[in-house]
Amino acid sequence: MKISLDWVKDFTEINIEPQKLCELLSLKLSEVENFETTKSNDVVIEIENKALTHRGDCFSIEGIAREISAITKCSFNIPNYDLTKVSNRNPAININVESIKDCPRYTAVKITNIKLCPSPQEIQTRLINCGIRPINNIVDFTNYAMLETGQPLHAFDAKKLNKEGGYNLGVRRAREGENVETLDDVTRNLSKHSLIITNDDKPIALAGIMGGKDTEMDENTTEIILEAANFNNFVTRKSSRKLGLRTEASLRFEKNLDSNLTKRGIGKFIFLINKYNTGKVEGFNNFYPEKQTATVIETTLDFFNKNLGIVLKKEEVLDILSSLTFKASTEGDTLKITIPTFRRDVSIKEDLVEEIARIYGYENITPKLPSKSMGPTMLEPNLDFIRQVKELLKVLGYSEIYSYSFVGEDIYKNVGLSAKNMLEILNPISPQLMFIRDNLLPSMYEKVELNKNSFDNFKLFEIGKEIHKPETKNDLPQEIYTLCVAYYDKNQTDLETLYRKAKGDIETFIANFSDEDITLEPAVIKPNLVMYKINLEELHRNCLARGKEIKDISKYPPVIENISFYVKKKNRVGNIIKKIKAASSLITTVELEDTYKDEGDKSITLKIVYQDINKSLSDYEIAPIREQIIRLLEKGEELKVRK
Amino acid sequence: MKELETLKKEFETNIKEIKTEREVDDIYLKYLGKRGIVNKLLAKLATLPSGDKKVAGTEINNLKKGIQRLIENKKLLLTTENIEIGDLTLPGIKPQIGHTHPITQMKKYAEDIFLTMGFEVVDSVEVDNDFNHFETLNFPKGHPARDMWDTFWTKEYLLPIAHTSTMQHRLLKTRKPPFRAIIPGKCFRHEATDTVHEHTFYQIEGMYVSKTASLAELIGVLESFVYTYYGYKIPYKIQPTYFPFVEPGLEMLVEHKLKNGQKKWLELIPAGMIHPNVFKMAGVDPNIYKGFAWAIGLDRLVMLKYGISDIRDFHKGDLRFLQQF
Repeated sequence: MKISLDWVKDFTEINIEPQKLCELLSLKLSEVENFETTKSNDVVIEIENKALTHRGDCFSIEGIAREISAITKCSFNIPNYDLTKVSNRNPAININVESIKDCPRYTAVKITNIKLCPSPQEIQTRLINCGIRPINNIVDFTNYAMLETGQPLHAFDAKKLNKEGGYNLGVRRAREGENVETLDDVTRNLSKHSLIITNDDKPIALAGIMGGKDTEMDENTTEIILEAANFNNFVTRKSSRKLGLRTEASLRFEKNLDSNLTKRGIGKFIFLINKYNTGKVEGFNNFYPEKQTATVIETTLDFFNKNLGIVLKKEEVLDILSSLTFKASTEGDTLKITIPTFRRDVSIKEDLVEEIARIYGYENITPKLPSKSMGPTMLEPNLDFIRQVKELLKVLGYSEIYSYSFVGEDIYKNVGLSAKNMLEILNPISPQLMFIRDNLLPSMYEKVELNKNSFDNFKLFEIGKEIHKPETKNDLPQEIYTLCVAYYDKNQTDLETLYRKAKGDIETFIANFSDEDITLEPAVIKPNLVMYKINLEELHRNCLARGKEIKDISKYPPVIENISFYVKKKNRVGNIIKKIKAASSLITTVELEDTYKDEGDKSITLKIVYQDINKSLSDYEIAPIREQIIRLLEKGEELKVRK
Repeated sequence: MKELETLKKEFETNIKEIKTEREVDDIYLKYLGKRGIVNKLLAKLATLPSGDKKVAGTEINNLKKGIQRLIENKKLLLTTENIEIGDLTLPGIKPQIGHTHPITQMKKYAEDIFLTMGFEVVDSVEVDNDFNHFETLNFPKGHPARDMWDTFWTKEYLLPIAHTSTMQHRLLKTRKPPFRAIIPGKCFRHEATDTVHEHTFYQIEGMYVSKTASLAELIGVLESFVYTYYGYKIPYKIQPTYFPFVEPGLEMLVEHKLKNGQKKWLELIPAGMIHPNVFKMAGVDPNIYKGFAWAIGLDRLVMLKYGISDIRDFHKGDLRFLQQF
């Protein structure tokens, strides 16, 4: 929002340099990025809107002047507009408001003897400095009064309104199927979300947003109906969003304006037509059934000091409040503070803490640290587990990637998955970011493809959440922490070796966290690439459940022997090893020592380690076990011992 | 003194060349033998004035100890291996080590700072409902401030979270005050991406609730964090801003030094005192308890720390970028 300091000076003095003023406004109101000096020697500052979302009063020169006067401790004066002289003129304007919630106030003034022409130079200059294009005197006066007071105004060409039995203006929600052509030449299809102004029940304008083409002023205009109304902030916002139309007026109404402001808007407008002799007030009507009254907040000095964490004197607090034109009285320890109606953002005592803090200055509040009990604090166990997982994977040579939680059908197809049953985004940035992923594989596969261009071999991992659509309507999705790893080696053409290396990594990884014999199927096996996926929450449960028992070390030497078998295609080495292990408690380890092919026959050599905790083993004890193993395998697995 | 320095370097070069035990014996005699270099130096000491004598004496003794240690090491190496070492300059065969993501590293760093300050670390959800994300945070339906959040929505009227504050209500419901917690999380906003904007980003929410929480304490906690994080007393300032779930609402800016030496204020941590309505929604009495909350944008911290110019690198998954961390 652009603010002309020359204009501000109509209401308060500015006794500091613009640079300093900008710094102070940033610290005490809202960020001011820069200022510029215009040709007319005015200084224009640009205030960021974001921090003023709740401050409807600050979308005006008067409001900013009030803030500057409080911040720089200067006097503040705005004119008082007396409408009693005009308010009893022949009404002849009927106002019919459907809901006072949507429209708490509607003031209309008829002005005649108008001649449209360019507005005076001083008016135009100030409008231009604040970023508004001058159009003609009446439009410029409405904009000028709006910028100064914060009250949006609209002028209808009175001759274009039906006036049998007086003007019949109405404010109501639009009906399905109705439409109105707005000043920007667009025909707007309306719905029950649009609040409209009607003439004899026919839509003529979008309330609080933009006027209609049918009642627009033109070179023949001689009389107008001036509207100064108050529209509900929620209704205006919804209507403006549904239509995709935001204007200076809707911007202000969305901020919850003071209903009493219509008087200031009209007052300023009439002041301008009188000053420049451009028209005559003829009729007036004011729909304002429930007057907005000032809020009174009762609190204590102690409350402020406790919330601020510093000790202020009562006088300091009262000074700050009165600089913001809040009225305060004291009864014993109680402070009674009357909030002006234009400060609709201030409704509870905590709001006043902010007023005091910012004007007193955050830089003047001495930082202090809360005291702390001696109790230990820690990470949630699953977060701690993830930290351990990441560190181990790093040591195993895996590098961590992050990828989006949003996915598209395309990358699912690449790994042969269908994108079904996922949470779907209604307003995605692109089709590639349309679903919330329930599987980490597709993104990982995408990253593997990318890195192939730069590296011959690499290992990647990602830890993320797989998110599953809730079963029933009001539930939240199930989010499961999952690990996905990829092992890529362009030069490893033997798929079995590649697979065993990747699997070895995973086995080492799992063994670090779990005693259980978890057999894991790879998720993807392609030439040069093996990928695994692990449910980390399950692994974490395993890890927590294990009661790792440390075994005593035997004082007696082990007996180690190799046995070779011819194996057939259907044999599973993993099963063979399991069976051997189960054969005797004296067998401590069974490892695959070697595999080789001999004229079409494949054979494997297993290294078997026997050891007893209490004594040295001799062939007397081992021979029966060996025979048992051979019997077991020859029978159960149809294997033949290779001699 | 310079003489000693040269002598030390010369010795270090010599011992590196040595390949046999015999050569070790030779070098021992040369430096530490009865008529060796070190003894000669010690002999010279007598000629120095007493103040200098003491200093020089210590230095020569240190040199002697250093030489002794290196000779012993060398001897051990040659005797235990008992093999002829050929070319010691051959490059090592390196194991492949991986890399954790820079955001993972920085998140851990920030979490650890808060852990030492007595904050527990709690996990965030990734997808939430309107109730937790907006309504319990004092954004009734249709509230204009909702526009500031640019949220995504799913068909089920769920949303990928746009702020970690979505966890505030849950924590107020499940913890008995006083408590202090931080909540790291992955967040999403409907934003066109470029070098400084990303639709996916990371936050660390902070919450502190007690009977005596105050603005001064909020500023104190944030100050302690940024001082520790940056490792020096980085200049900062506090400005008012607006969020419906805090009152007062404020923002901490820190002074960032640009490459050209200029300084710039950077918005780093939005924060504020928890709004009484947020307490009420969770059944906590705002007349008894007060609190403050904040959110730190991790991506920005990481970008500033490493001078990363394109925020999109975080999710690209390109090892050429990641292996630098």
